Amino acid sequence: MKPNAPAAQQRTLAWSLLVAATVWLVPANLLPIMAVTEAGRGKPTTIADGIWQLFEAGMPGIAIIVFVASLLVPLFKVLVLAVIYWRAARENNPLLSTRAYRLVYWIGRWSMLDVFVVALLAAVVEFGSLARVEPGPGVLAFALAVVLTMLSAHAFSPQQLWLQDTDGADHGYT
Amino acid sequence: MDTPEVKHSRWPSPIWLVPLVSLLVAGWLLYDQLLQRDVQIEITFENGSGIKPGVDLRYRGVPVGSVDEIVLSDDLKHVTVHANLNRDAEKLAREKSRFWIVEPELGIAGARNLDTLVSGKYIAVEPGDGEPEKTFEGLETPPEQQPNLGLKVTLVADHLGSLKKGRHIYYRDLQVGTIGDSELSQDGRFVEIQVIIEPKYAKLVRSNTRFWNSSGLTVDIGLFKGAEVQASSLENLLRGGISFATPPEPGPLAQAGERFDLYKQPEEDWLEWAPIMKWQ
Repeated sequence: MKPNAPAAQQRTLAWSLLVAATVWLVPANLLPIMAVTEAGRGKPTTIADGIWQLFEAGMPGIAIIVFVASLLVPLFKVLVLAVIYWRAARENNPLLSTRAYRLVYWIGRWSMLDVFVVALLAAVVEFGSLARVEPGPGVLAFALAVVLTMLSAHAFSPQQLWLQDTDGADHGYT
Repeated sequence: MDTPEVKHSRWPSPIWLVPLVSLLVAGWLLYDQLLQRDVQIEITFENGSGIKPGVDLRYRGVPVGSVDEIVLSDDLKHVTVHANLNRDAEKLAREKSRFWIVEPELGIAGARNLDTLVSGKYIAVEPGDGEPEKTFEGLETPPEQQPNLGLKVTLVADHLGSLKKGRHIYYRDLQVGTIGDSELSQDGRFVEIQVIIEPKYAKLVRSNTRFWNSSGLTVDIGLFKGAEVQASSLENLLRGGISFATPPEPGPLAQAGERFDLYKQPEEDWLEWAPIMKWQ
């Protein structure tokens, strides 16, 4: 008998979405997120390129913001969620896990910063051959990673952290 | 109380298709974008000639890539052009591939590459036949003005006149070579002109060959014969060039780097010299 079968299913769903999000993080960081074409001169930039350019242009503050928002936070979210899911099936520190979960859920709404910036630039900077911003494939991967992380967090309900979990056998816990 | 029957499927939940499909699509995207990206090449020129980022690379008149950025070398002696070649033009980047900057040429005798006046300069490429290669030395002049093979000899003249680089060398009014760089001799008394004879005509030049400046025209006005005007081809007259002739008893083949005097005009019998020389 599995009184917590729905909780286990929930976790499977959350886990699979999280794995998919992790997969998409790789192209999100390796592929160019946008190509800025200025007077015929253009170069596709990845997230890391962009941060470096901001830093070199003498804007370390903005560079750090972008670094935190675009590189650190997505990775941090995936890692924290993984730890929460993993601990949910085992011995519990429900209070800590719930706080971490709420934090990740709250950060979620700020994660689309990059996507938003690229979308805004692509729409606003359109002067024919003089200057143009084209979104790159990286931004799609980034958006997918963020959306999948949010869906994963959404699929998991923190209530089950407080329930006595007895389906540990399913996860190799005896 | 009835308990619901719990079935354990041997298959993992279908939701795992989401990460699986993600993996496939993301992997394909990475492969497509990273491994098959445009080919980055570097070309070193002595002079950038006003090349800008965004300028085309062309092969047979068709764009095959563009210039990304131009940087000065550390010793300020060269410019390095970073360019990307389209994926399908990858085969152009090989050992011995030649790159040169195409500029408009305007002269009395003709105009070339006039399209570059409007469309801007571009870098032309001629593929080589070696292994794939990423860094190249650019040519300063188009390859047709710079046969890298061929017999190189030095002509010594009093004045350079209109014998600029790229002008031609004629044998019986047939173009057989080009004029290369010129410089002042060590003691400052002469001008030394590098001359490159195409390899297939190299045997026409012997140690007793006479070279003369065939640009300009000779006007001979006499009381009884009227005016006599002498000029070689019209193009030669306008652009300037060098002709040569070899005496009826041709000497041994000229060595590379051999020095010859450049005469201002030919002596009359030189024009009649017609030795039999197998030039092939």
